[in-house]
Amino acid sequence: MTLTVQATVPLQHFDLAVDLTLPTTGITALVGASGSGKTTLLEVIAGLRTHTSVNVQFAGKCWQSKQKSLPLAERRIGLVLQEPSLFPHLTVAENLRYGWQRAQQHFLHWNDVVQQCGLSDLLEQKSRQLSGGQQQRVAFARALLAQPQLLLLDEPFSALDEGTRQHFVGYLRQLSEQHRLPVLWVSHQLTDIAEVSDNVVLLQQGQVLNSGPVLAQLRQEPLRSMVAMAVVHTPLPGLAEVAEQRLRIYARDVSLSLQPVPHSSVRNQLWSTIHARHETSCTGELLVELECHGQYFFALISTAAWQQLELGIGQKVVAHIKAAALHHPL
Amino acid sequence: MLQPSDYQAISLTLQLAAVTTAILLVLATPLAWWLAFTGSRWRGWVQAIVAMPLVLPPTVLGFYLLLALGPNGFIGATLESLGGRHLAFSFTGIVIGSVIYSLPFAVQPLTEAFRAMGKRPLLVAESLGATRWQALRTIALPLCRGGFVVAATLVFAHTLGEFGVILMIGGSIPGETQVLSVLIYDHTEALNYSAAHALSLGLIAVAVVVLAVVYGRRQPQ
Repeated sequence: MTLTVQATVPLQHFDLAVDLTLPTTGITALVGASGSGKTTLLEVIAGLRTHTSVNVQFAGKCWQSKQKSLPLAERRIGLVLQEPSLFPHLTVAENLRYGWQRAQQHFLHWNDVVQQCGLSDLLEQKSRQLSGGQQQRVAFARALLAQPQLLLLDEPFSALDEGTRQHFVGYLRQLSEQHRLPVLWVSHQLTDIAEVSDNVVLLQQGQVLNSGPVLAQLRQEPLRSMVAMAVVHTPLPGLAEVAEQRLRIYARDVSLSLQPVPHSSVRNQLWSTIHARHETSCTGELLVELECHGQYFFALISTAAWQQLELGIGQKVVAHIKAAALHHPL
Repeated sequence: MLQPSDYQAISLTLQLAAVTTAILLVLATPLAWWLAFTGSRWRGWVQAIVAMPLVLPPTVLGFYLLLALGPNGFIGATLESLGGRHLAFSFTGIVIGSVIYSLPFAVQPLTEAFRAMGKRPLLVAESLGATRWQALRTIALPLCRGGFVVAATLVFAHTLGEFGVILMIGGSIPGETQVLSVLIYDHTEALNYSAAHALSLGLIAVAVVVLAVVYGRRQPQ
């Protein structure tokens, strides 16, 4: 089951020219600088932007071709745009019901979604009275309650505060896993993307620069130096964490030694192998890529330390990760 | 003080305004929609033609309409050859004149309302499963209600005050084309100032009330 998109759409300074095949499972992130065509690509898939060259197929069904354009209503897309686009003349509850009452089957339950999005107390409010963050939460809930078969999200959580955003990113993961709801999202929060996405598509000037599984993309440029972070799956011998989950590890939270350090406050000490060393944009600093039981992560160390410890590719070292630095996805 | 002929003119004027308003709301809505959202290079020209009655003397419009609707005009002659009657000096004729004359007063507020709304709410509604028609009815209509109210009241009020076009096309036939403004003119010509006063003050009162309703709607957000 795939989503394929072929499109050549003229934009202001360049063409959006893509030929993409994406899986219809898991979370796929669209990444790229502002104005690289991410929003346009979402609009093309959603059918908001039609052009003779556009060809979109979802799970074997033609959504858009030269001859045919499937009406928006029949695509069943959960669309959340940069501006929340709530219906200002309706209350929050009426906004939520708009898609809910038109859906055929309800696999996402009203109470669950309302509660997860923290809307229980807002239902009777007019949507024009809401703050930007509240509007985004309503827009997200409204899209979910329409029982979509694909979520297309364009910076859906940009107006939320840090803690709330974390919650929603975790909720997105949960939706993808429990309901097999495919998600395609645009976010500028690279750490969010690294944390929950399964796949990444990198856009530059309207072209696909790179695409593939997030773990592999994080090990490659340009994401490697942009994020300097890895995602590992626990349990991993040496990590105090034993539960099965995804952890993100920032390169700056990892230090290296040649031997385990006893009596240290750092509880996570992992025997690892130096897999590669990468230059960074900052002179005097190195990104050391470590391998540990088939998983990869980075340590950010100084060039001086590399020389002093006489490190080399293939060498065994102990990676120290402060427990407090292990970021749990929700 | 008012004669039966005055009441007849009042009734005729209200009829003309109501019919014109109804016709214009139907005609102007799709036209305004097109003007609000089209990327066509003809948009500027169409907008200019729609706005023409704002700048042309009503007599110019009335003159050409009289020629077209009269027995020798393109429209009038066609109707006569089909066994009908030409439209000069008829109620239908002044309705046609009023519709054209008030077109910008319907199209402009509607175009503005549609533009202010934008297409996005409709696309979102469709993505939530609504058909195009449902989206128009449940989203566009309520969101643009203010535009429709302004368009309707302006057209209605503007038609009440219409003079030149009607005089040119319709003349002053009691019960057929003799509307208030024309009757006031006739009263004045006949030096019947008290009747002219009564009707004029009435029109002023109606105009003030209607405009107050229109502008009163625009409350600060």
